[in-house]
Amino acid sequence: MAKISDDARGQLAAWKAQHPVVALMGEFSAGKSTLLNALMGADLLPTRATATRMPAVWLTAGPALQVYGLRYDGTLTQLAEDDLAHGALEDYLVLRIIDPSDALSDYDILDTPGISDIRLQDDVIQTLAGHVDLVIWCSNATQFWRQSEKAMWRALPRPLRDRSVLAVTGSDRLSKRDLTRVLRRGHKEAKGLFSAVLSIAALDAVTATDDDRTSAWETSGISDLIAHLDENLTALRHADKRPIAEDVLEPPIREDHAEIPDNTANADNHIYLDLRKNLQEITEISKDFRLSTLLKQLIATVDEHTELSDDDRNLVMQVLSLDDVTGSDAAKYLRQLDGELSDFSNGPWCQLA
Amino acid sequence: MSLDMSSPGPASKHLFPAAETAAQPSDAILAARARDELERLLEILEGAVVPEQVGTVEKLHERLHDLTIPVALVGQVKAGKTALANALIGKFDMLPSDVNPWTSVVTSVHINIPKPRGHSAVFNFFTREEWDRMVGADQNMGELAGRADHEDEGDTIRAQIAEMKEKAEARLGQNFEYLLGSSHAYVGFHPELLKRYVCLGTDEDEREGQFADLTRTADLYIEDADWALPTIIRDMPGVNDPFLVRETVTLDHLSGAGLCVIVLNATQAFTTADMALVRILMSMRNEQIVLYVNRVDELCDPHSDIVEIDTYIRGLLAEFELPTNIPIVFGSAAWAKMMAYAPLDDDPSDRLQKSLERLVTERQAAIEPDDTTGAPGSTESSTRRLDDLSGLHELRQVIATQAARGIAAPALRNIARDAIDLTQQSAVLLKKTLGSQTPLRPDLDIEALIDRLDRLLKTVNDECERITTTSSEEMLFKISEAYYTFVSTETKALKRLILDKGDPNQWAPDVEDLQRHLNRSYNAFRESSMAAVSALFAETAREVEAIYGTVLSRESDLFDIEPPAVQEPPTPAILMRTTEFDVAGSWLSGWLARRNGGDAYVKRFSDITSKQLKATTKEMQDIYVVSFLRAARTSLHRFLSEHIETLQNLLALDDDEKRDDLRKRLGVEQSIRDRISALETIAGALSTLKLPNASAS
Repeated sequence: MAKISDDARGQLAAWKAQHPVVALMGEFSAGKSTLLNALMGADLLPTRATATRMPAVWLTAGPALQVYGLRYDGTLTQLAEDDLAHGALEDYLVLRIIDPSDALSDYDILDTPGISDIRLQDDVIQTLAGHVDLVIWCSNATQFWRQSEKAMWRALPRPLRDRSVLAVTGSDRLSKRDLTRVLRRGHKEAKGLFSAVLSIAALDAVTATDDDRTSAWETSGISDLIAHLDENLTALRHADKRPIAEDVLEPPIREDHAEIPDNTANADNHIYLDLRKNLQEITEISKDFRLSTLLKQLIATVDEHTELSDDDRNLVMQVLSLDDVTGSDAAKYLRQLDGELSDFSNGPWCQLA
Repeated sequence: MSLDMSSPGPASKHLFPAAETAAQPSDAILAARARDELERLLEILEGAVVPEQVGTVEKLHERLHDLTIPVALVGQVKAGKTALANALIGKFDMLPSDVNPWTSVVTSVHINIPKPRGHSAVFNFFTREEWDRMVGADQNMGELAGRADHEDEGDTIRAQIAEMKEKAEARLGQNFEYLLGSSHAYVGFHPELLKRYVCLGTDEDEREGQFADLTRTADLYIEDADWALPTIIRDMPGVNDPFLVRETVTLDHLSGAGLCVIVLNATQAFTTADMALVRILMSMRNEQIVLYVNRVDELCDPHSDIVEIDTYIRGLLAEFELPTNIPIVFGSAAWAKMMAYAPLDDDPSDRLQKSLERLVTERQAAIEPDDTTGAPGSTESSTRRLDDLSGLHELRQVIATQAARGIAAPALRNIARDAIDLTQQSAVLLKKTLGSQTPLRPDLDIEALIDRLDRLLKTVNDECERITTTSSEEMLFKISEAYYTFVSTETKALKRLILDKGDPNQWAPDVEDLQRHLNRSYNAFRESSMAAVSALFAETAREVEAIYGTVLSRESDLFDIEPPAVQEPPTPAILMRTTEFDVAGSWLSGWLARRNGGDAYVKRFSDITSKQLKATTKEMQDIYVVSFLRAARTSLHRFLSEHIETLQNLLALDDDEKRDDLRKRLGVEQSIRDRISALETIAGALSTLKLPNASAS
């Protein structure tokens, strides 16, 4: 089983920093690629009845069509256009497609491998989810919202979920009455897990020609979906700072949100919050690889906290004093810090302080 | 079933099976005939045996009557199990279903099985104990299916069950207590009645699921000449439903479920949840598995998609070292319904008709005229057939054949063997009553004989224990060796990783290799213990034969004695479990781990492993070894006690007075001779009973 290297994660983070990213997620054969083709107005990806061994596909705007492949070890190679249909693509974690389509002018689209595929490596989706701003979770109308979907969805970061959409795909397969009932269940199940539930009959849209596309998009529900994306991403853009680090750092929420103690309300947790604020800055500036300077700031912050006992402070300082940080290791160190901070917030030091 | 073929679409003829090639009777018919023949022979036998053995014949009769074929329809939520159940029994609106999942009840349709006290519908409610057991159920479907956060599922299930119980209690008030553990029975039933008991999940109509959260099982009784053997079709709640109670109920009913039809959705065939079901069934040594790929009517390019799906599923089975010859039937329960009521009311845009035409056209173009369709359930059949495209007839054939070979034939064979044993014992006794001279050897030392029997019983008992102990010790030794190798290899890898300052996430213990070793150890135990116990049984049968030899004076009275069958031990669920190690990643990933020195983590790893080793060996010893030993002893004791009884009867005949008494009860000499000749005829018929070949796959 291939491991996702830190270099590969670094590359994903760098891509994410460029544009907002909308991801298509869900079970395999749940209509993700069909929806993507409809959004793009072209049959970009093959749709299959069985689980494809297609890697994730990251579409971004650019002047001319180009295809790159990112391997698990982080190496990036340019591929021929033909490879999309015929190449052996199993070795790639992500295919990066630069496409001149208008559909990509506001945000990138990431089509992810379907879950519940027996051959899918289980950390791929979680990793990808750390590098997106909004998810369209595709769930097939005829077998709507199963435990495998719910469990995976609940394991993703909450801020991401709160912006995301549950799409009932293939809704044209159901009668009107049945669809109403499925949607009713959808609204009930999605409470607190999604910002909206929309039904999509993407097949209609994809067969529509350019002339009557607008009306086809209306009836298929794609117009509503796009309006929703625009609204949520605009809100995101207007936020003071792009909360990149927040998504990554949010500890996974396991049970009902109401029962989770709210970190921000807990005064004892302010050290953690300070550290996180600093870390967010590091993430922003880390693209310039001036990490050591920032770490010094961070250390200064910790040092000033009089509540910490000497032992605890030394321990944190020891963790934070990373020497000789060079560019290629930045992502790795950030990730380690990330884990460190989560541990810290849950661990005895936080309670002691 | 109303067959309205007045306006069938042009492709509809492809839904019907091609005319049967009436060459040989199917295995199901063969088994049904054998059963009827056995029934007839047992009736004669009951009149021919000595009075002491009439009870034993009645027991055989009971075993024969209890022989039913259980067929379970399992699969993910909304895969189309209920629609398929309706199609299989040919009553398309009998079991209600809905676009949302709504049943948590196991519904059993009993076909050609006598109704209990004339009732054709019986609904059983939970007892308090069953409810508690479900709350504490330890199931590992989520783990096997690799669902995220499966560790938390136990808590979720408990919360869901508690809520279900609370709701039921609030709604039913006082009646709740009365209903627990009781049942409702009806002489007739209709879909609306069923809904009240089985349909849970919609809040719209309270009456709809009035008792649904309280109902555990629903049993319906119908007659259907299409089913040669008495069959029970069980429609199980869907697995992988966010309402996890449904999955728990289904898993609770899987052991002893008989033949399992896993219903897949063609548009998303064979997910991690489907694979988990196959693996759970395999772990229960249930090899009677059939896959039915439903909803081919929803495929975009049905013919080429079917080819692709068939290759995909068989490829995955091979990759996971599961049997690749599991029958896979492709079809559509919706088409089956259309075949019965063409055209369908709820298919206004002719979607079903069009998809069927599409498959016919595509397939006609794809196949060569001299292509043969192969056996039902094979790739050739799935991808070349032009008739029976709903797959219904083929599925029925596969079910009937597998059931006849795998379930009916072995059971019938066992009953026949026990009946033969009985005829021989009875014949000896009868012949003795006829003889004027004493039937026993004049020099017979009864004391010695009793001693010998006593010794035999004791030896066999001890030997059983010895065999099991030896084999299980060997197994436990192998198991701990596997764990030891695992720990030492992985500890080294872990230490090296820590030394190299590598990413702890890169460390992945090879749990699958450990599991393979554990399974291999258990299989070795299964094989060696079964072989040894079989040998012991054969030896015992020979010894009993020898004892008859010392008792009976005439050579011609002696007969061969068949040893009893050895029961196979079940595969322990613990061998399918790897939870402890799966969490290795999360406890190890902290950065502090490395700062604190890796030794603590290496120690923690080996602690977890030795804890797991202890749990495994204890469960193996306490449950599986002990139950195997108990089963072996039980069949040996039953075998020996029957023969001891016969010997006692023989010894009793040595007493002239008693012999006269028995003769009086049996009637005149001629009637005894009639009985003996009847027994000989029966024995002959029993030994030539024609059964489907169980070993053929």
